[in-house]
Amino acid sequence: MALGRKAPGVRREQGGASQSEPLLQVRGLHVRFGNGVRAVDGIDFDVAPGETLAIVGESGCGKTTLGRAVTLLLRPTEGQVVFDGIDLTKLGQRKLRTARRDLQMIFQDPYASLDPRQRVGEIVGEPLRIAGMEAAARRKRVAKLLDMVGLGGDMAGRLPREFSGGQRQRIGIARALAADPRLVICDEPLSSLDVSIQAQIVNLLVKLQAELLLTYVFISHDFAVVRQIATRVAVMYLGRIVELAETERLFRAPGHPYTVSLLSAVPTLSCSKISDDQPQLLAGDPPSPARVPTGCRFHTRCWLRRQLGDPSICTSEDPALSGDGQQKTACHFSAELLAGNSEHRRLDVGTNG
Amino acid sequence: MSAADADYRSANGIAARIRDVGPWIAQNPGLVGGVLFLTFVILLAILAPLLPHDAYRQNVLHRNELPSLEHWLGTDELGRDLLARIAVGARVSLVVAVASTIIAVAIGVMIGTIAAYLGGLVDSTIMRFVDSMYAFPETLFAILMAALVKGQLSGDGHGLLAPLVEAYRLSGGLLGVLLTLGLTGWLTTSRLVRAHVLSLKHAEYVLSCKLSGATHWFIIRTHLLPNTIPIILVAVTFVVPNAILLEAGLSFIGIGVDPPTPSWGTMIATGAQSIQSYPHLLICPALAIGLTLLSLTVIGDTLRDMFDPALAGTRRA
Amino acid sequence: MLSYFFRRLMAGIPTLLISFTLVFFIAHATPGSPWDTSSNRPLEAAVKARLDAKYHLDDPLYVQYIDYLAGALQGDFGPSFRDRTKSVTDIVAQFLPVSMKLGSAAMLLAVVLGLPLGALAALSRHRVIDGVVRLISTLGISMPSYVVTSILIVAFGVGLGWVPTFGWKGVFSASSLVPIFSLALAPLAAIIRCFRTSMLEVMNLDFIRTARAKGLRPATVIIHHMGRNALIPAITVIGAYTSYVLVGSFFVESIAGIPGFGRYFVLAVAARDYPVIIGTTLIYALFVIVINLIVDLSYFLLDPRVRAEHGR
Repeated sequence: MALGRKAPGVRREQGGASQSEPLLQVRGLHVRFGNGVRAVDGIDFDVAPGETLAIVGESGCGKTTLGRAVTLLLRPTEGQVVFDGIDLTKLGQRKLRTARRDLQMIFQDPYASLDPRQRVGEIVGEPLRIAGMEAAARRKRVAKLLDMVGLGGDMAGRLPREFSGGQRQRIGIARALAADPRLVICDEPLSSLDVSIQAQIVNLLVKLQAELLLTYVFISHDFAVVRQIATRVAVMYLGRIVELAETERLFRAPGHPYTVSLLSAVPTLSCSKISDDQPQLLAGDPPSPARVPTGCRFHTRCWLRRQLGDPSICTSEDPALSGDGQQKTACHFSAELLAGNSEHRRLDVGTNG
Repeated sequence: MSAADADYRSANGIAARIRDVGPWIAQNPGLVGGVLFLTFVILLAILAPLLPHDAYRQNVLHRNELPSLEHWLGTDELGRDLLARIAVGARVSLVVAVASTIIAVAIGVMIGTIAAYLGGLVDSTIMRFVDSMYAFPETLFAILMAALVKGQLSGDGHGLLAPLVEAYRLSGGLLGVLLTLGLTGWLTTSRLVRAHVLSLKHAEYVLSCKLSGATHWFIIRTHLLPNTIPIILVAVTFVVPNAILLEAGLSFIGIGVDPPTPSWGTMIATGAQSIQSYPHLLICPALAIGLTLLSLTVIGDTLRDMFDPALAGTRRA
Repeated sequence: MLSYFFRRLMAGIPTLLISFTLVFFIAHATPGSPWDTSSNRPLEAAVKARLDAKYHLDDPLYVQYIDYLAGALQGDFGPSFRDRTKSVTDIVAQFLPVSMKLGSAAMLLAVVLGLPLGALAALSRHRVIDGVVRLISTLGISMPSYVVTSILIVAFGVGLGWVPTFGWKGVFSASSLVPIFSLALAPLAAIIRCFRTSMLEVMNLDFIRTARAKGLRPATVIIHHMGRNALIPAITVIGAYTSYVLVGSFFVESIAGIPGFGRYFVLAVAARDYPVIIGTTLIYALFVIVINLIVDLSYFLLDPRVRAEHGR
């Protein structure tokens, strides 16, 4: 096993990216499967060190595939993934192994993400074992990690089946942090947990981010959580990012009709009835990613298009993601939408409305 | 020890388990009977040299005798004590079963894991080959292979084959049967292992391992293989009785072990020729192999139920 | 749908080719010559050389392979080496029908008895009935066919004299009773076990509860709903044993004295009769492929999910 890196626990200064350059740069990423499914259909984004980029979207929009592709667990069909200055897509297996070490992942299903035959200490210590740390040092670090995630250090001898879902997720987090990564991709880490446990895990993730100077890419479909922890949010639809904005900006002034639809579909506890003829609610099922609509891919379900009288540009031209550092959208009529926002938005997502 | 630990111990500890044994035996008579009989056979095989008569000593004056106090199961057509021959035959069957299972399962696990893990073209090619082998009736292929192996090993060996030929001669033909069964028996295991590894390949803990920079070999030996052990045991429950069956079958036709090594198969073949006059020559070995296979089947069923109920009732997966 | 089956049929061709190649090389790798008819009188070298030349056995192996393959593709497998007056095709025509008749009768028996017994064991509330059926099926699957045949012949042929102990007088005579039963025992046992298990699984599924709650007649529920679903795994087992049984078991045929295909094969192996060995193997492989296709067809007919995936 290659030992060409500093011991975990010591923050590295090497690597191509300094503090001001993005830690992760994704350009033109495409993932096409054999049966014609275009799970990721041209995605570009950057992730700055220390930030939390949330990726949201409905089931099937390609977010999990994106997570796998960015870590190169799945080979992208096209595109570049530049992590810490190195393009991962151009590396062979061997070099990829070393280059990827500062990139880790937390998974969705706490019942499937831990090897049932290993003890917790082995699970959490595995990244260290692979990196070449010897047993005694490993044990110490594992105990420290388990403490850090809120499980006792003496839990190392137990088996996963002795723990609850929330606790297993903590074990998964400890494992992800073992080798001191810089970027952690969280693939829907809360979706399998009870609501009360979700809050604990979210707080843990936030705390760890501050302590360990982590950068997160947080994949989720839960807007409330996203609003709480994300610095920026990317909204995905059918394999593309349709809006990429700073969090509060997105929630207060969404620039894409799909974002508006998603936000207005979140059930809240307000007393007013949700009327059925709310124009922004999405109709029907999303199209299959094997048959992406022509022009703007959202046009088949877009309420704004209907409202504007079916402009032809929606079916003929595919809008690019454009805008400024604070908000980028992929819609021909973003400006109109933002201008008319006061009539069309629901603001109470994530607050106690 | 905390109160919770004490409760855990009293429900699951050693004393509790001993208490549960009685009712458990009553509920699983087949399994218990099977294990007992198998143990008996194993003991018989191990203690064969201690029996009063030698399995190889011929005594023309006492041919084909029915069971008596002197010879508990009678004698065979050359005057040899039948009980002793059955005991040594048990040895042959067991040695063949265990050794060829080890070979077959080892080959099967290797091939199944490689095919599943590497996927793609490697997988398709291997599976195409395995499917072709499945198109052969097993016994047919075993006969062909046995003829080949015996042919090669019983001639004058030169070069690479020389030590094998020597070993073959020393083993009284056992080596030939072993190799044959090992080379034909890996199919089932490879299919089972491949299916299982395919499902494990995409498990999230494997993905996490890859991200940490593990080599393929590390993943295979740390995660894939240990989690495949139950399946390997299931495969073993298929392969062992099959091996015994095949060995006897090959010996029955005459291409298994070499005489005078006793094998239940050869004894059945000879016994079948004197069905009318000396039925005991047929019945004793027939019962021996029948009951042994029965025990193994019952034990195998129970093990399979424990690990994977979907496989119950099949002879060959 | 037709294209699916056509593709499967075509997929069988490489299988046949691989089987052919395997057998060819294994058979030829086995030491010994087809002309040594008895070990006491080895043939003179000159005679042997002449025979070898006549049948191209002195050609390089790959030449023989291609030669034989070409012939096989045209249906000509050449003469048997053991009995040079007959061609392999003649031998197949003479002996295979006997085995097939025997095998068909055996499979018929196995299916006709096995499915109801398996269902009975699953549905019966009496643990005794279930236990007895399971005992019989476990016995049936553990006993080797030669043991069963021998014991049956001892009991019914020698002991009671009800059946002849040797010889074959056609499938509808008494001489076929023991062989049919011995051949049928293993598939019967396997079918019982498999069908029982799948019925047990299906029995507890929610949709059966719904069917009962709807008030459907028990017979309808059992046969139409449970049976059809439980039948699917059983068909696989039936298919596997059919190909095995149809071509004849040499154990049974040897003991009972039946002039069948299986017994002939063993003799061919002993005599290094390459053309017969290879021809026989190919017939076996062909059987298996065809039967697998039939099994696939029945999946298609029985399971709408398969239809949806592959058919119109």
